[in-house]
Amino acid sequence: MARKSRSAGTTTRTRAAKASDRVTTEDTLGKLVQKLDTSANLRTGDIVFHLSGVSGGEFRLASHSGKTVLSSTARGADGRKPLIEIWGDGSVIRSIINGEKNALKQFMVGGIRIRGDLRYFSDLALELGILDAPL
Amino acid sequence: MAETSGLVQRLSILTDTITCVWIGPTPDNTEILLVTNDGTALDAAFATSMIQALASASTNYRGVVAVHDDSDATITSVRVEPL
Repeated sequence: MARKSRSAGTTTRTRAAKASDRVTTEDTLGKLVQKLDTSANLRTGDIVFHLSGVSGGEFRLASHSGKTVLSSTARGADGRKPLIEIWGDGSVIRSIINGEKNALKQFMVGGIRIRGDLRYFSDLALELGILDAPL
Repeated sequence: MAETSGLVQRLSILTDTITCVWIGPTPDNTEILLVTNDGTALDAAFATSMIQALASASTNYRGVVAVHDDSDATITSVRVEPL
């Protein structure tokens, strides 16, 4: 009986941790949206994140007319192909966006995938300080 | 396992253990993948043969299919498509 209640407690804590991590991921991406809105390189199109781990989920940054909107779904309303797609561990991607970890080093270590218009990604990442040098 | 197919748009040998390859149908629709080796002779030889196959495909405009993990950019095997 005691074991069961301990297990239930762990589940509750895990759910709470996941919820708080998800809020943090959305918070980080929200800050990224603000930066994107002031970016000179911003183009109309979507940037999609496929994040795994505790702070994972599917997120889409849809930019149109210099305004970016964050939504927690990978699929766009009109089914258009994203400009950039990124796969990786939620906490690692979050650290990269926050400037706590070096993007290139993390990519070389493995566990991150990126696909799409990489020239656009390079320009954007350089401007936002995510990359130190162009790809 | 995931497969990325297309032309080799760019190939950069960064260090003796890391090579970066951009694969995709067009220059504005590519995926960055890695060929790595752990420094052992066997692994280095395998990586070198993959890089040579990719370089050869690049210069001959032959499509390739790179196999890698769903959540990782490291290429585990490569196929050069027939004409």
